[in-house]
Order: sequence, then structure tokens, then C-alpha cells
Amino acid sequence: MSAATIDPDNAPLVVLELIQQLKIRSVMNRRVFTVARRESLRRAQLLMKTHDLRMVPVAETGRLFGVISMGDIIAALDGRYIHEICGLHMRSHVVALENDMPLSFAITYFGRYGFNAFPVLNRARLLVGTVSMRDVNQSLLAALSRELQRLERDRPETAGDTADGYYLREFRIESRDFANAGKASNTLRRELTRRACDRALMRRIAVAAYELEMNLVVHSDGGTLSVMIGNGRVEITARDDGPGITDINWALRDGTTTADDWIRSLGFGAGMGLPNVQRAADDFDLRSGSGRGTVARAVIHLAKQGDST
Amino acid sequence: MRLSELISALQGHVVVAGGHLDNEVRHLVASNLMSEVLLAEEDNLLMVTALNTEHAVRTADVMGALGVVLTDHCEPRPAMRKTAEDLGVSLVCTPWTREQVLAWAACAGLSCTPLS
Repeated sequence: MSAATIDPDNAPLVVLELIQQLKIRSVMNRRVFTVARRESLRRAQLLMKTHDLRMVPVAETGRLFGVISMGDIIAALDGRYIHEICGLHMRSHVVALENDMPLSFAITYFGRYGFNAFPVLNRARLLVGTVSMRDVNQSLLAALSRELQRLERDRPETAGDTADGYYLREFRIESRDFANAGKASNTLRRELTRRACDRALMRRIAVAAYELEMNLVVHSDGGTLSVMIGNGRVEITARDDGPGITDINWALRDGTTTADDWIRSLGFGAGMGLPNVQRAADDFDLRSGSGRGTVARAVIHLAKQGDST
Repeated sequence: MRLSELISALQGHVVVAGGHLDNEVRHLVASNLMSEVLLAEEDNLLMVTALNTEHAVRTADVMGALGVVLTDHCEPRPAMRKTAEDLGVSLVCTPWTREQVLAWAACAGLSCTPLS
């Protein structure tokens, strides 16, 4: 069987969205069997046999030093050095995945390298799991089943215009869900277009919403983006229960960011998100603290006070 | 300059027309970092980037851009193409680099914002 079972050009969109949404951490096998460098290849062989493994990481106190593959064990049996230590024969140039990466990365890696399994590291570069194509397929099937159930429920929209002319809507924003990042702001822009909002004003509102939405995706553990249009203003509120911001003044300076290289490779993390919201909004306030979550609120006044445009 | 004329000058091809091919382009903003792009305030603008993701299209939509020009032979991912179709954002590919596009645009009299 080819390792790359999903064709990124022809797979159904729901599958493409799922492999972007699902993170490796939700797919990986967290029960990791490892050997130390001083342990014998025979020990690695025994682990493979007992637990049906294709690869055994060589790790000590969470730090990954290499891997022993099934091919290495066969070579050791052929060469009659199976009693020797793993540190002498392990592959030390290891290709590893990170637990925050989307599943699409894992699928690409299986296709590119032809390995049956990869070790998974966390942000601190410590070994936290392994992932095999079997893990990927099982998780994808479960996620597809959940998605189909959701589509079947076909829940109607619960928000929109209220009887007194206000527009209220709340969007749930998931952490690191880059496949859907920005959709709430695009929806808001459609609503403003429907209301024939002035172009420059519409851009300011959409930019403020987009930056607050991206902030939730990149920096929080997930939260909500609420929009209220009415009484001559648009009010956008982002709430999360994430790690919070210790130094608000620092976070509001242009170019300051805690985003890593991966986030930047996706086009985010320039450190201009909150300053952009401040520039776009007429009123902006940010309440946060370490471990207390964050509430950011941007208000943009429409052309005429009292107009519910 | 009309978008269709600009595409032809860049030796580009249209992936998603988005209904803007006859629209006048007046400004180009170029970056691979979306927050930088959002600083642009001009109308009738085009985003120039090598970022072939749906986020680039969503960013263009948020700022009311006519479309996205993907540089360096980048081909859009299926999700990017679908997002452009859904949002009505024009999507164009060119073999040229970002710097080549900006240099040409400056000579053609278009205003440009080159960012990081």
C-alpha cells in the first residue's frame, strides 16, 4: 500500500479540511516504548515483537537520540550483532514531527520519506508520542464519522437580526484551526456588504475582526468572537480562557510576537495583530493577565449615530 | 490598468476570475505576512504573495482587494482555489518573483507597497 493515501488535488474538500484541522497530537500514540542508547538491539527487537511496532525511538528522559527501525533489526540479525547496544547502530539523523502540526504534515511526510512511523516531539523538543499511518487512518475515519453526523444534524443558524434591528452573532474559534481561520471575519464582511456599508469603514471593521480572530487562533486555547451591529456602531469582542497576556503594553507594540517559525510560515505572527486592531478601531480595550484569559473589545462607530446600518 | 491587462503583462494565468478582470488596478501590496498586508488602505488593490493558502485569499477579502497574485510559479492549493471561488476573489498565478512584479508595476505607473 502506498503510504500517501490522500491525494491533495482530488480528495473531497471535507477530507482536506479535516487533515488541516486535526492535529498530530490528537492522532499520535502517546504510549511510547523506548530504548536507551546503552540497551541492546535485542531489547528493541523484543519491544517490536511484543507491541507490534515498526520503529522504536532511542530516548533518555524524554530526549530523542535516534531510532531503531525494523530494517536495522533485520540487518543486526543478518550481521550477528543483535547483542550490541542501540547507541552504536541507531539512526541518529531522525525525521520527527511536532505535536502541534496539522495532520496534513504527517501525511506529506509518509509520502516523502516512506517510513512506517515517526517520533513526535513537543515544543520543548521532548518525545511525546509516535505516529503511524495506521494511527492516521483510524483517526481520520473517526473524524469523518463525526463530521458526517454533524452535517446530518444540519443545525440552523441561531444568530442574525433581532427584532429591534440589532445584528448579533457569536462564532466559536478553535485554537490552531488554520483551515477555518478568518471565516468569521469574511462572514462579517458579507453582512456589512449586505448593509451597503461604506468601503473604508467596512475595511476597518473587517481588519479589526480578522486580527482579533487570528489572535484567538494563534495565541489562545480557543474562544469566541462576538459581533454586534446596531445603535450606530459595530462592536467586536474576542474572549478566551487561554494563557493570558502578562505585559499588555508590550503586546500592543508593533513587531512584538511569541509566534514560532511555523506560524510565521503560514503568514501569521508578524506581531502587528493587536496594534492593527488599535489602529482600525475608534475604541479598543484589552483586559488580560497571566492565566486569566483575555477579553479584547473593538468598537467602530458608523457614519451616523443612531443608524443601525 | 485593467486586471486582465496586468495578468497578460505578468505572463500570468487566471485560476479564479472572481468577476474582477475588467476592474481597474491602482495599487499593489506585496508581502507574505498577512498583518502587514492589512495596513494597506488603498482601493482597487491587488495582493502579491507567494503564500498559496486559503488565508491569503481570506486576507484579500477582508481588505476588499480585487484579488491575489501568486508569484514564483506557485500553484494554489485546492482549498485556496475553493476559497477564492466562494468569496469571489480573483486568483492569478505568475512565474515572476515578487520583486519582478513590483519593479514592473513601478515602471507601469502603479503605486506599490513592498513589505517583508
